[in-house]
Amino acid sequence: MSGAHTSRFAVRDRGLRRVRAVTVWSAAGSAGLAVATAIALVPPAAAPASDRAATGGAPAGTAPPSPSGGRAAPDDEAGTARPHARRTTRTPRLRPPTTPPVPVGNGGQQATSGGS
Amino acid sequence: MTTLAPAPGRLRFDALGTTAVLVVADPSGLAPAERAVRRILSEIDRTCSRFRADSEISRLHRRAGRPAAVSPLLAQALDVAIRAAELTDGLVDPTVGAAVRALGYDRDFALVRDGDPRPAGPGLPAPGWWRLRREPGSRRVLLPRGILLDLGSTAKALAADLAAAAAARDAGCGVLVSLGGDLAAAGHAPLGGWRVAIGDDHLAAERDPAVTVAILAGGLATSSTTRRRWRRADRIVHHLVDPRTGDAVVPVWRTASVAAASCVDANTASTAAIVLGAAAPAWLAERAMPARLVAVDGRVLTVAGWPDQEPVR
Repeated sequence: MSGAHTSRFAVRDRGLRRVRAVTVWSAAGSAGLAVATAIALVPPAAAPASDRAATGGAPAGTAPPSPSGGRAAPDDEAGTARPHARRTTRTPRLRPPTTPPVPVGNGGQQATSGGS
Repeated sequence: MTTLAPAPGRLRFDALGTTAVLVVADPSGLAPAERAVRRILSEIDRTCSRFRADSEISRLHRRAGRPAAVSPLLAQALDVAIRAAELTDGLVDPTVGAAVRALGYDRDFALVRDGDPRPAGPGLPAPGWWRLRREPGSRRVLLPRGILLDLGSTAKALAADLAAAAAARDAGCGVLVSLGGDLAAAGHAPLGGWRVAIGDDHLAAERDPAVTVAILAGGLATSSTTRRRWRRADRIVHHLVDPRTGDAVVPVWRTASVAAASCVDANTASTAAIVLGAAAPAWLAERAMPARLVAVDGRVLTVAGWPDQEPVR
């Protein structure tokens, strides 16, 4: 029987409880459950590399060209896999204003906005 | 030349290393609004300032490597910073602290602006926000050792949002709060909206604004490479650091102003625009974030509904 199986489970990750959900499409529901269980046992650091959306340059944290070739390296390498772009859907967008700014003549301003 | 309009419901004071401006629609609400704003700013400073050894974030740094329970405000500030990083794919990243420090911005800016004759070391790319361990819905966090946080811009924007909301509630009227040019409006705006002068420098904009716009609600933020600059050996650096390189952004835009539903979102987008450079207009347009970008040569570009009208003088 084909279909999707979603497995939701909690793991202890450096002392913090995390809930993970894995959905597996399979030709057989039981096979999907087995695959989901296998994925659950893979540590976070082994998660697949990101295929994030391009934003005009090398994303942060992805070994960018640097004069030093290094980075401020934490000693804790758990969870060092960069999150997949699809994980950014919790709050998917920046929120635009309900109404855009309206032009008015200079003078009479109540506040200013500029570099500080 | 213009100046800020005299207003009985307006005051200005120093806070968070910059200038705070409070404007209320009803002058009788100024006193309770001021109390609310000062309370919020004090809480943010005690919680998020990386320049205070006694701040909560400094204590969190000292607990790095061990799970910690943080205050509701720090949990909120961390979540806001992580959300900004997620929504910008790391263009705005709270783990950029070591890079900012390496450039010399390791004290209150008043002590940094005189410069440092020593050359800065190589850039330190941000380790990445995803290394922070946050348990959703809780106040627990694990900061790995070796990561220095700089909540900088998002915490200031959060402070503006929280202060405006608290002030509007306590004053019972519309309120506009500006922290160094990052603004949040709450409650009912006065007729015609809040009039905000825009410029490269929020102080200079009082005397000589590039443009003036009115907003009704939400936030408006401006990021600029023309302020918070200092000499490091033989070059001038500034506070806007590209998390990808750990170095000060090589500016395509000297100033980016963005309007959004909140000051946090406006600040996130304006900072990301400076970091993105040439790709910023498309990035902002895709997100429908009205913005005004000023190139280093002074050319102005407006996107996503920002009025393209230039100054009426």
